[in-house]
Amino acid sequence: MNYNPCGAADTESASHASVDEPARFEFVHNELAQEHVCFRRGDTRDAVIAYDFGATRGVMTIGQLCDHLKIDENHPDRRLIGLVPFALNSRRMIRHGDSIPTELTSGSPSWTPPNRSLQDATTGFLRAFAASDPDIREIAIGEQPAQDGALNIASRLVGALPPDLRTQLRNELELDEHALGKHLSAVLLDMARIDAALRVTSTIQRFVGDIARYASEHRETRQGDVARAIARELRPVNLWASERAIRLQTNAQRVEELVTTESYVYTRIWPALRCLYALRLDVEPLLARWAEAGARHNGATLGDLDELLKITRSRFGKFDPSDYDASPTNPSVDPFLAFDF
Amino acid sequence: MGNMADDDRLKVRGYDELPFSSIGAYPDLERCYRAWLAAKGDRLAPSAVDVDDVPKSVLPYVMLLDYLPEENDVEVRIAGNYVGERTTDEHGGRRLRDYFCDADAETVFASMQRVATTGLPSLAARAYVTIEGREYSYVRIILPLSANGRTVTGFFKTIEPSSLDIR
Repeated sequence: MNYNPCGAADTESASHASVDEPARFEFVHNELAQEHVCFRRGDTRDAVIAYDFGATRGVMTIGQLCDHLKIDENHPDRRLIGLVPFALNSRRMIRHGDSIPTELTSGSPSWTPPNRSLQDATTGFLRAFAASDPDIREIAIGEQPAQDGALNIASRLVGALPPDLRTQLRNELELDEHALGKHLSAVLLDMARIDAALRVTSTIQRFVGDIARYASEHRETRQGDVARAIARELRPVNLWASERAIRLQTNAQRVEELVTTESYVYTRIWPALRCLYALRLDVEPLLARWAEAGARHNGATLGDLDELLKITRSRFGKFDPSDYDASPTNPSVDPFLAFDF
Repeated sequence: MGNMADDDRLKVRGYDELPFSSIGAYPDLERCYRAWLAAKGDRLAPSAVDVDDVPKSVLPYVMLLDYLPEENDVEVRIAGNYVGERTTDEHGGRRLRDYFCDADAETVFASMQRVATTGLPSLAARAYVTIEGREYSYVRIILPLSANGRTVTGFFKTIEPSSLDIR
């Protein structure tokens, strides 16, 4: 059996509908272009490369990689490698040939929201604009990809908008009917991503609450002490994520701004989505481990809790919210300065 | 999603609507009200209350809610960390009946409905007992929001942090 250090493909980031061919991680160095080589987060938040170079296999940091492959600052792969830590805020892994996430180019989110969130976004849109077609609420998105679903709903929304509002939007945005449909589908997808980001925040809140409850139910035991330590480490993360999500939702409540003002979306919506998605990727191993423990007949063991504490400390022990804002699209951050060999 | 068993949900013990003229006794809530008033202008209600204009101390207790009159319900879009850690249903439910037993959900909905119908904020003293058997009491405000400028479509809800009493 082939050794695959990268595990399953990152399906959530697999669909990127774009008319233009996206920029890609096309590495020049042969070793980086191999099938069983990928970049991902290590046990700590650091970006690592997982590799199988035949004689050698394992995991190394980017600094070790550059030493190993003699990639200096003049090497053509240097710039792309410098982008990897930022790209891992949007993807679980990066392989040769993958597109560079749009978060690092246009700033727009590259991930596809679930259909449940798209349905919710449609309801929110209708509530804001009081469109006249109640059947739109009943549109079944079914199994079709959310992006197609959004386009389908948006084209119907255009027809269902009150005529004076449709004219006003077309004039304000300087779009014909077809382009207005495409524009509204992009708005719907962003609204759906907002819904998904809020649900993730609620999941983190519930997880911290569950751990804290576990600690109080197991007072004066080693398990209780470890659970309390986990909750203590995660409280600042939860506080930050909750405030960020409240701010995002407050901005999202101004649906008219979302529809009509491009800069509002760039500055108020996309940065928050970027941060909360990056946090989601970091928290996933904790949630998975906790769910796994909960599914067991006797619940979480001391071993589970010790492992959770280890992951928590390595990922969030030095929690710094600015890590999640770091992006080449943020002019205050230079990715090449931030990239530390 | 099915409802939680009654025993797992919050029990509303006390619910006293306070005269809005007493808002001055709750300085953080008064600042929220002022922010709402400024954002409202001459409309029925603002589409949002700007987080930068409310005291940071109330954020852990904030709930941003969608009003669903056709379903006699509200949906929690997002809550502050204090509320979220204590009340989020394990299946991700965000409706009133995921938090309250049926009778109490009706009481809570009635207060939201009153705010939606009148477009006026509500100030109330609340008390309930959690699943751990602890009694919580506090003073809360509900501020109506309108995404379309014509009808109330949601609410901003939070509490005066200093009024929170847990026994």
